[in-house]
Amino acid sequence: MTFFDQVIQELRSDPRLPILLSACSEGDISVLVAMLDTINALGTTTKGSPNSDLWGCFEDHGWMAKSQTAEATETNLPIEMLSYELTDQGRRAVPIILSHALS
Amino acid sequence: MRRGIFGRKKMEPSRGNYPALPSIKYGETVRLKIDEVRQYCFALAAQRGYPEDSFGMIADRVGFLERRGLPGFEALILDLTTFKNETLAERFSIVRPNGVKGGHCPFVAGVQLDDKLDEFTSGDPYTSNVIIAPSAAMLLIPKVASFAGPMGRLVSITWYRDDQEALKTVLDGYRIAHNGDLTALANATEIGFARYPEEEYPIPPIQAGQFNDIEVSAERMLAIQDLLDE
Repeated sequence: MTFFDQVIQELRSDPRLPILLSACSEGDISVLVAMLDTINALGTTTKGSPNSDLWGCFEDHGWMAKSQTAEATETNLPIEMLSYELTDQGRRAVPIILSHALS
Repeated sequence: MRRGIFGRKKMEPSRGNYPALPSIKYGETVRLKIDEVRQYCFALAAQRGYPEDSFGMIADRVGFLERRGLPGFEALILDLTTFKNETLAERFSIVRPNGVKGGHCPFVAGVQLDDKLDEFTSGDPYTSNVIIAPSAAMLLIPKVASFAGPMGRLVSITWYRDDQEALKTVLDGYRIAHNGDLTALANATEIGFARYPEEEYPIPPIQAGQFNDIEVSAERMLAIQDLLDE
């Protein structure tokens, strides 16, 4: 089974993925694309946002991980900020997901 | 403004809004943001007479390369200046006006790869599928990456000079790594494509973009000025 086949299988077997992707705006998706395009990129979002739900799901698949660096950064804002980075697997899987789920 | 058929006014293709060219002297350099580089590329493509729907593609390809530290802007400018006396129709042919094959338009070479990349990158990883290199051949890299990303493929590109392997490039949709002589990106005579054998070899340290601006010499900026003024 190719890497592509594995990702498509995960896409088909997790009903959350298409729902969470469809809840994201073009702006939300552009954050992911910018992260893919940038080395060591860190994405920050607020807990409960479409991005945080999607990224949490990606984390379950091993495609994103909560940033260890960002956890040490506390803010005084009354909202919880979450920071994620793409894993090596995610850097190959997410372009497949974006291409197939959003086409 | 020019007249189209039936006397209606027809707009010239827009060259977009590109930044005013800075006033610099020979020997000096100027720093340009990657977005500014894209805007110049858009204008240069329009001025050269490429089809209007390709201006953005050409600009994005150069931006992709420059984000990864590869001299795509220089490659485009050199291509446009070196072959400015050839018509686009001549540039689109794989045979040069002097009868030599290769050194043709890198964007048309990319279009010609459209129906081959899947076959080239899905079979035996040790069989390199070789094509004659266009000019500024590095401008093919973003084309291959845009195919590899949605397919989850790791692609191996071999750059040959006069039948000798000069450089290996491995890439996926957004990341890239090289091993060998990087000048082959500009002067390869042939290019081979294959699937990277990831089941047998570790993946090299491929990296995404990291540069947000580049340094451009006065000579290149003056070349841009000349091209845009033609």
